[in-house]
Amino acid sequence: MQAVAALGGTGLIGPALGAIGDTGLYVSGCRQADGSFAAVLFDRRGRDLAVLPVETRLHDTAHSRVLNRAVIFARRPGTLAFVIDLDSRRLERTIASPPGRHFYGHGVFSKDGRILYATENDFASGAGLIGLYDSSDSYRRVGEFPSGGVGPHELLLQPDGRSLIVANGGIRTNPETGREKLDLDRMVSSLTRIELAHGTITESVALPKELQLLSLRHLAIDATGAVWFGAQWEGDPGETPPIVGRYRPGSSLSTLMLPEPLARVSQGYVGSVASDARGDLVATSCPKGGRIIVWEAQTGKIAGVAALEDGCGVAPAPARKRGFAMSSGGGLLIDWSLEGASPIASGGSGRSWDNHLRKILS
Amino acid sequence: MIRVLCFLAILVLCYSPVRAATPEEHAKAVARVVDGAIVPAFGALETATAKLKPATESFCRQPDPVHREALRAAFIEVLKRWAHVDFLLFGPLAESQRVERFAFWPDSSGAGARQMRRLRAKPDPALLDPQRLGRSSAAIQGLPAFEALLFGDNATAVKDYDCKLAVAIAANLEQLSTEMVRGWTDPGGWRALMLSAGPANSYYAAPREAANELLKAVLTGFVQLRDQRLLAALAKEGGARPEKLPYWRSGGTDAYLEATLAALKQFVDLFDLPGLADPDMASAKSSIDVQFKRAEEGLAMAGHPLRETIATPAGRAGVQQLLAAMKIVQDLIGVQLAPAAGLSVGFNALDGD
Repeated sequence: MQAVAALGGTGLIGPALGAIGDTGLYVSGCRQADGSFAAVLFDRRGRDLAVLPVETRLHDTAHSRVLNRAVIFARRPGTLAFVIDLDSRRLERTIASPPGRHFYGHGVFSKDGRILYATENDFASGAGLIGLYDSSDSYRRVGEFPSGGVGPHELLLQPDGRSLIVANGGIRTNPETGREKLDLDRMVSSLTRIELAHGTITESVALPKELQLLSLRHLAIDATGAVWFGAQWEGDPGETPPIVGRYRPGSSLSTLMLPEPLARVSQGYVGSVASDARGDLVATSCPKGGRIIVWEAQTGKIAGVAALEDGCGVAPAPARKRGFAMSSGGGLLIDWSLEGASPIASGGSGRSWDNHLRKILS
Repeated sequence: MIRVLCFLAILVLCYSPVRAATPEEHAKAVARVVDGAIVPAFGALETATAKLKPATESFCRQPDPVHREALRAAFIEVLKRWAHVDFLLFGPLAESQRVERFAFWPDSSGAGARQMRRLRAKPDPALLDPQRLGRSSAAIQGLPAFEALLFGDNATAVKDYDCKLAVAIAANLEQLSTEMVRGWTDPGGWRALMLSAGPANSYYAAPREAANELLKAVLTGFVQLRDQRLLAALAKEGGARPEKLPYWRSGGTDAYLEATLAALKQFVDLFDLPGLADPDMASAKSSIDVQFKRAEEGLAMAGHPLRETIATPAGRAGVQQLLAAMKIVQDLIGVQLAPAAGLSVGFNALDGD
């Protein structure tokens, strides 16, 4: 049994140690104290740079350094995405999904910033799609291609910029609510690799039969080029299947077992995955269990565990090369490294940070 | 070596929005609810289900009005006991699909009726073995299936197979109840887990986490009562859909709803969130009492049986009074009392994304 060292709460409020030459701009969606929703830009000390009110709960952010724009998506089954001009720190435009479609909350820009790729659902057929939006033409929808599965969730661009990796959750949802799960019996979750030049699926890897009820949702890429995934177990809550794993494009999936008591505590649920600045460490957050597990990318071993209640958002640390910024539904932001953790911003603001935190390096 | 230990150290950052209750206070609240409500409720469910099988067998031997009423009373007793636990969607009830197996309800796609029709047209003797039945579809092994067999449209012509299947379902319900009693009370069971919350606990790292679990459960209870059991039966245009009410076939609706109110009231009283919160929230206790009283009055005002009265103006008004009162308590607990007591149901943890 591992000891849990209490670090205390209120006594630790203070800015994290900063570094020079890194403004460490972060973007995250949140629910404000008054119940309204907003996209928030804040610096590495947790100071708000802009609070941009929106009409819907948010999820994840796509960022283009070339355009100096970020696009934050509504949480599924949302139909809106909001373009943020990072120079003026203002909302520049709203993108709407086409009729009969909704967003899943994730998107990614092409390397040149021209095309925004978004995971989408076609209500009628239940087919997963990647929608293409042209940033040079008012984010007009200029095309789409199949995601290669049902319920595509997070997607990421491979480092060469030529392919997307998509996590297809495998769960068809009710078109009326967009959230109620249908067809768990026929669930097939997969990771697909899509070549962007032609929109063709060049690889599709599914889970073994005994993990059929595992839904692959969130992704990050590490320094070695391996794609890490975080999954959600839809089977019996009494079971503790692996919920984290790796996939190296061109080869198969491998899963990583959590030791007890972590396996049980995490409740079969990963909410977000991120690698740190250099991709040496990978964080997988388990908000249901109030734990964020940090892995050594190279070895696949657990490097450390942060206990953060309702902690879900993970992104590279404010200043350190190794470590993470972590956010929680309780409004807390912490700077976590293997040496320790310190608050970036205290809770108690009444703000609830949404699932995903993005660090915008500029 | 020190480095390795460093790597494994778990860091806890506590989030305390206000003067929150102490861990000891949270632990006491958890013990009050677990020992005062949850464990006795599962025990009572086991007792009630143990009487269902003999009542079913008696009725099947002698299907006269006297035995039918005795069976109905035994079934309604199970419904009442079930109402005291069916919102505890964690631990033993969540494991092995027990909640769905005990009561596959609501069943919006009609899976239960469809599967039961198919089964009665072509009886499968293997399913008369309760063990086998327990591994089959959830829709044919629990309370709604039992009700459809013995209190459904064809209840006047209950066939031999129907009776035997109902006996098997009763045995399955007793088995499930026994498993849940053990799941709670065994050494190392859920009671022990919740009452030993702390750093050495593999599941609840602090009493607060166990208290959060109970908070989630009771809020689930309010949502289920409102959204699943009553709002679905009130049509938007002012009409009613009594067939959406729970357990109307057996005439158990009213007793089940009354028991649900009683269960939520007992849980909330034992939890005593106003006592865990700041002193200035003390008045919430009387607000809660008043609203539960309004809800009970609403149900009484609606008249019995609800499946008939819900379509009348008085019935509708009574149900709406109950709904409004319970919404007030739900919000009072979720929005005001829980944060003031240092508890939280989570923003991302409940999200499912």
